[in-house]
Amino acid sequence: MTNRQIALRLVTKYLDVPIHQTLFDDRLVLQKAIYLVQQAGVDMDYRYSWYLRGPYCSDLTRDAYEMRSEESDIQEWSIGPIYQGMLSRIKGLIDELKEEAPNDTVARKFERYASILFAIATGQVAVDSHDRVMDLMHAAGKEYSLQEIQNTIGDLKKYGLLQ
Amino acid sequence: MSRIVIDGVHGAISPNDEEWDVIRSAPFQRLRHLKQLQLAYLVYPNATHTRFAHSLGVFHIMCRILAIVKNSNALNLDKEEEGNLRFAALLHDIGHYPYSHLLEGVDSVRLTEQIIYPGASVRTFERRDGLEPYPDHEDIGTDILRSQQELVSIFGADRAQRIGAYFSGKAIASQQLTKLIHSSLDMDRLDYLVRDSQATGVPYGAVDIDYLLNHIQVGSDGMIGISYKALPAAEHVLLARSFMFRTVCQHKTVYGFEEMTRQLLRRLRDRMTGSEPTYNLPRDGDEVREMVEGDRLLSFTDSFVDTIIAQASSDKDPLVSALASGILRRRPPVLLYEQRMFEEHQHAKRDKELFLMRCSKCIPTLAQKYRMEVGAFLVCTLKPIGFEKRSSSMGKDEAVAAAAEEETSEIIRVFEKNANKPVDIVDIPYSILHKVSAYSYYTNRLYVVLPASSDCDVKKMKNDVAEVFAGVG
Repeated sequence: MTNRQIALRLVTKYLDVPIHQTLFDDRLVLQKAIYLVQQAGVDMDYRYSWYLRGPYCSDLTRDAYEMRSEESDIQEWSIGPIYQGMLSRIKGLIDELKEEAPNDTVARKFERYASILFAIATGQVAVDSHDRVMDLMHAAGKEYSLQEIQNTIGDLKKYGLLQ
Repeated sequence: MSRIVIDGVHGAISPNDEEWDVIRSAPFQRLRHLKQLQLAYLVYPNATHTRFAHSLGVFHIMCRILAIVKNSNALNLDKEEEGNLRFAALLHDIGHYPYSHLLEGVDSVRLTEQIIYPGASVRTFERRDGLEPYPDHEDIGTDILRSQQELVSIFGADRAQRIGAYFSGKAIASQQLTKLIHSSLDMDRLDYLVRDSQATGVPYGAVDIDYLLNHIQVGSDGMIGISYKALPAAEHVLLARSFMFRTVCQHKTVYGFEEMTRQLLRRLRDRMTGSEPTYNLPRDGDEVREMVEGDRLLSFTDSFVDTIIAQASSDKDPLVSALASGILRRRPPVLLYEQRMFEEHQHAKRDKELFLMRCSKCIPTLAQKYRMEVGAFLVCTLKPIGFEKRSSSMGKDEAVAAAAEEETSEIIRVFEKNANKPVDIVDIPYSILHKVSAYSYYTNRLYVVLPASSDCDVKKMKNDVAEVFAGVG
């Protein structure tokens, strides 16, 4: 395993987000969860670009595929104290997003949080321009309501991902 | 006033006034001092062409594509966006480091001793002493656009950010066109294949750009692809990339020198103690950003690394000086063993693990026997060379299952006869890619760096290595 794959295994274990997935939605959750983790400050060396479903990293897909057949453990590794602190702050948000909600699937929630954060973090729209965020998301084919956008930005601020 | 630049690959290139101002700016002129093919000139003497010429070439191809697709209703492209896309193509390499990936990738370099001695019982995943890793060149590019005064006065902060998002693949608007900067059929690749081929004299990269551009189509849903008539030309691009990488970038001597440089830069960057010279290498990502945001950007060119190599050639550490003077005096490392495969990913992975295991076994013994440091041995597992993004790491069945994923947006798409929507090239049964896309070329190598004064019996050492790799050592 490469160092990056070891980090991926450590982080997903800590957050209880499985790596070995066959369903598209589950793979999407992994992509967006790692994006949120990195935005919280834990640099795992995954570089994200914008794709049809929001921020996406093909290296992460590759690593996840590779690790499907890996059973070697990570017992000799641990997460250092700085990253431990960052992860504990973001874990609350990840746990909330993993909860099923009526009319809002887990995958859709992860996609919304990651996409809105990506748009703001890359400077394509200002954090307080909720209307503009909505326009941009609509242009990208994501029909989020203004209420959803406001709630998402509120949560991202609450967990320190936006200021 | 119209300006014309004559380029050896594309002929006349015509930037507008605003683009001309950017080309004239000092941050863009810096690209004249970054070689496109890094250390390949040590083998191919004419491979000294620069990122400056390449950037103009990519800009030219973008202009041609925009002229073809801009009237499409499905793309809904306005003037401002068109201008931003032209700038994104022109500026896509503005953030490159000296010798590009050799310095940029310093954080991911594994020193030989780290490979063969896996370390203490419990290790932590953490930042290196709280230091930031070197940012990638696309992030650095956006930093340059936002901080270098000459460019800020042209773009302003907001537009600079938007253009940066286009060339780093982060732009949410104009996705289809943005992907044409970095994808399988991208303008970056179309230019470098032809340009590198021309400069090195290796003919495999001579792809048919004109035919491809003349057969670009936009689907009813805004998807961009090529007509089925251009399928052979698209296949040629994907195969040409593979041939050029194997012949030029992964040439035994080119790669050997580049690995020496990576190991040297990593060893110097990691010193950090103050008692040993680091020759002004930025200590972490924060210092890189500081450099590129100020006047030091203009001297952050290949010469920056050349100077480090020259100074380090008389370093007190014998390994550091052997690496540096080997590069400086063009003494390539000796190739002790090479393993080549054309395989699906899972098979190659097993062979790579076996290779690393055997290296771990033989290097300490060889080091002792020939009185060398283990760091003089370079263990290289080269980046696999695949044909198409999808399935480069998966078996064929897995790749088909993954077809619905986001990743497919970077694949070459083909409009079959009378079709309104394109299909992925790997899904066309009569395409070569349909058959070979799950395969990649894999190469593993073991080199040794010998100081000029060495009296080592290389032939004997190669025999020793051969015995280990034959499984009898």
